[in-house]
Amino acid sequence: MAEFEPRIIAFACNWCTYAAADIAGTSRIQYPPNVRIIRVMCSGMVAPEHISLALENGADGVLVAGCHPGDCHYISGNLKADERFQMVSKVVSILGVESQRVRLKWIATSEGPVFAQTIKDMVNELKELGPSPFKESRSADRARPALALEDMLQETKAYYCLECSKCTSICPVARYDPSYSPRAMIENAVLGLGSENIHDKKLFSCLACYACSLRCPSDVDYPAFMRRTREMAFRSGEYGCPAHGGFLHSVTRLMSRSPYKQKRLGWLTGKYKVSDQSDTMFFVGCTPYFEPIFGYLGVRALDITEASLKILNSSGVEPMLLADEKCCGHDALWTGDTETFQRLAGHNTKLIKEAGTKKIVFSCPEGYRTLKLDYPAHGFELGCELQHISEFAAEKIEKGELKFKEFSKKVTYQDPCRLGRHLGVYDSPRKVLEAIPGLELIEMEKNRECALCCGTSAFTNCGLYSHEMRVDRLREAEASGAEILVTSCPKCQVHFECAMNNRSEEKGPDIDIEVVDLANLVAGALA
Amino acid sequence: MEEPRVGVFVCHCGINIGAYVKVPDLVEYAKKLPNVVHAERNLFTCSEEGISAIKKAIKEHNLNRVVVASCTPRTHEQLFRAACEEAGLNKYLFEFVNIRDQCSWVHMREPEKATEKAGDLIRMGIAKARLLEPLQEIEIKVTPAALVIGGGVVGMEAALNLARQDFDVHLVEKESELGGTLRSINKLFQTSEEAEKLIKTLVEQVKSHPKIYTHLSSKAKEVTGFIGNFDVNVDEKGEECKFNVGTIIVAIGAESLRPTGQYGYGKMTNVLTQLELEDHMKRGEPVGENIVMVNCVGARVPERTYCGRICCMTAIKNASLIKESNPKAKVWILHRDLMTYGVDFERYYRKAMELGVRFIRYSLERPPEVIGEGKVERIRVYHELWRREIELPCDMLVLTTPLIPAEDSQNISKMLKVSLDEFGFFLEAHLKLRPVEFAMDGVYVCGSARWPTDVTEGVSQAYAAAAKAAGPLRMGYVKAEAINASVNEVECTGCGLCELLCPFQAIELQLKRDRMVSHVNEAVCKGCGTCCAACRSGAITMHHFTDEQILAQVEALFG
Repeated sequence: MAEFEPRIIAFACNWCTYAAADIAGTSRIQYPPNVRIIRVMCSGMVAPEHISLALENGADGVLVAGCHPGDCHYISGNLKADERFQMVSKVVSILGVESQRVRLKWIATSEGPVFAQTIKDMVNELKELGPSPFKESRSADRARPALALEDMLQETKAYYCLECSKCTSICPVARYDPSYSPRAMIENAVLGLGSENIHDKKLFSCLACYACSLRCPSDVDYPAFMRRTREMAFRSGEYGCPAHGGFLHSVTRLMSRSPYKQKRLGWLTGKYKVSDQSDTMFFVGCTPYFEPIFGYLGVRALDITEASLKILNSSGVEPMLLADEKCCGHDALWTGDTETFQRLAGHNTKLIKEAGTKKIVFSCPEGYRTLKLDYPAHGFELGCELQHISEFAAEKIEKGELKFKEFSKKVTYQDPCRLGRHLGVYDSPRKVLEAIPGLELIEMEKNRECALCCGTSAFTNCGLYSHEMRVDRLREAEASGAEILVTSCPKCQVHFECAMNNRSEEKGPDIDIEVVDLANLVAGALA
Repeated sequence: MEEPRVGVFVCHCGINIGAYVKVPDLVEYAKKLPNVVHAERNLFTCSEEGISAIKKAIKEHNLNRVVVASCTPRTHEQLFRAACEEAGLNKYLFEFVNIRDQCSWVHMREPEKATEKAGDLIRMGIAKARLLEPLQEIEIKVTPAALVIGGGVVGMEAALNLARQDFDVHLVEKESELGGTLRSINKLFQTSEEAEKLIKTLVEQVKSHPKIYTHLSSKAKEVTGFIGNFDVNVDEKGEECKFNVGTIIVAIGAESLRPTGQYGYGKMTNVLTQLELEDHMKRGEPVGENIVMVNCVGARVPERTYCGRICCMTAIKNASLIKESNPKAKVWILHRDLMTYGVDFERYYRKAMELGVRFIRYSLERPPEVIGEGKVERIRVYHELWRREIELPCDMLVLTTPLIPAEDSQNISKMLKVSLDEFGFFLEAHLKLRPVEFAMDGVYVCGSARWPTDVTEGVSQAYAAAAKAAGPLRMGYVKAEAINASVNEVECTGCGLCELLCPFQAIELQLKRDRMVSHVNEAVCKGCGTCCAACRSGAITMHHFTDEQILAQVEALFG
């Protein structure tokens, strides 16, 4: 068999490294022919998703190369590249991918020999590591056939649409973006113009918040309709306008195909009691990945996870954590990437079954919904009880197993759509909050079934309208007189923090309310 | 977008490519790739025949994308782009593939693999080319006028230089008179010319020049716009004065540090700074028989680590002048190191020694001490060579302090969106390559606003800045980079991350239809793409290097 020849993608800055590679040429410095250069104007132009997509597509190694600090043609682009690269390499390391596969290097114009040496070194290291296990990208998944339009209409009962427009009138997206209409999308599909929906970027604006379906007199499952349409769109190469450049989606896809053991529990210390023998499992979810990705917003996503463990431990439960748990697949499923979802669901189901778990507790409503409804719907039966941490805590409070100290604050509660409208869990979080002495729970004007969403879901189409929705929700929370907005979804937290970090607010009225996850608040109030 | 029709031209570059890479195979390979309607090989694509082959093929095959696989865009992109343009194709529909510098020349011993790599690179180039879009370089009209901030000798020289090139110049000075720091200076080294005389000549020339509009007791209050079109709002003696200029020169100079609390300064009656001594001498007031000068007061200390650069020469000049007018006077200069760097400066230093000025070195660890009540009587200094303390009689103690950034620096830096260095002086775009220019196009710096300079250096810089500032004014227009970023205002959440990141302040949040959204000023954007890489909502497109184009290259390699 021929020797393995690694393939390296090098994103090279036009002003230095690209020129250094030219110098290597004019000096006839020989180096292995394993590198393919993609010219960029500045290393600061290289986005996290460029690196992850290169890996996804099968690059054995990725090199980002730019000017030495202080020499950037654009003053400081290289420093920004460095910051981004550090984030990416943290994520890559949590995925378990060898750190040698992604590299950042400063190579100046005159450093032709350095360029050649860098490639030699990378090739040697990669030969030792062997080929990257990632070979198929999202285009491979796109090749699989989608549900036919007719079947989809049957499945979602879209045929029964009465054209009453209740969906559009209740749709929060439509309220902010008048050009978006669930009814029009249904009508298009029923009239056989499904392909128009597929190529409409607004297809990805739907939050799947279920506000419409709860009101539909004909019981049309609009979110399911939209999800199925996105499946078709995905196969036509439409991804909407993914937030954060689609980096999170790309990481999920890498994870779904990854044979590596993740390093997702690096944060776990002896402070928390966990047990491999326990029949209760805690589903950690995405928070280890959110940590580096959203750190710049000041959100410490793992706090939510740690708080949940504290609640479990205080109730005498030492849960099992899966060292190689993968993304639940929620975002993949809701962006039409069903193949990725199925790979993830298959992996998680196998691990959960092998562990002999009787109960799984979640701090994330998305994971909860996905495992509870979408896994069985796709043939992944878990055969165990599932609970959100708020339901778990409410149960323990009722039994008198959780005790709280005084916490004199006025709080209001944000019903996350996955927990509320999707699963009907409205009472448990409220019961938990009310059990804390001194705490005063104030409802916002729109609550429970009528709650307003945090503005985006599955990390797609997070634009101006999402932001406005978020700001309005925060204003509503502030107007309620509460000091703290409690949510029970890590993503709500990220999105609200993002809105409050928004610099445009500096130039207008600002919002002053603390956003705290339910688990954090409860853990902090434990006696 | 119309269906891409790609033409591929593979260059032999004589033997440079052809001897190591199988060019005919590459041509056959390229022909099979999607959207390729024509592929050929040339002995030298950059030769006249090669260029005419490109032009001919564009017409014959109705090509709307051109890919040349040859050497490096760094030397030949302009040429091939021009060929496309001459054949009526937008030059941004051209894509370069480097199969010489980064392939045949570096894999000479592996022709098979070099050919395979060249094939990959061509496939990637075509994948990008298919997605290329035509771009236009916008031309921005330039107002043929300049603003010079600061009416010192450097500002006046810059203004005169521009005015003599027939441009209108607005000269803004915060004081009620022109002349700046030089107004307090006695005589200039090395010529001993009276500073007043020099200023007088300059002021007369400035005032009598019909192209210079002098604004005294004035401050630039607001500057908006970009190269070619800066709207300037000046507060002139309480009244608003508005005008438009094409370029701006910052010549606000610097200030002398007042070392309050050190060596009895501010408490004892006979302690002065060098600048105060100048004034003293100009008025012809007696300085006494024993004069001690201490250098590096407030400079090269932990809180201000830089060397004041011109202060050694100031001390030597004033010491020499005292000795020349009263040879019996005793003058000591206590210093830490002497900086006599310029043309003839060393000779000037030696002359001071000949005149009888005495130099004693002290160290930061053992600075000189002041002895006296209410008035300095003696100075005690540790002589490093003798290794003992000596005492010097002192009628006047002169402290040599460094120049520090002018008070207005911060404001002007914010107003013009130009950077300051760690000490608060203005920072040029590149020390060596762009010494009097700011990163912000159309704004220039000269004199002590950048770093302490003497008159000679300041005037040279004034000429340099004026020459740079005159360039766009003379052209009448500037071309903005076509490879730039643009914002989709519906997808933008107005988070402002891009505004924070942009190294050129080309991005600003603006209120549009009641919403704050990001706006890229195409005239200022340089196309580095850092905004696009950071955008959370995917609202920014980096033209010519779009996500789709980059991804197409990646997918083409592995797909």
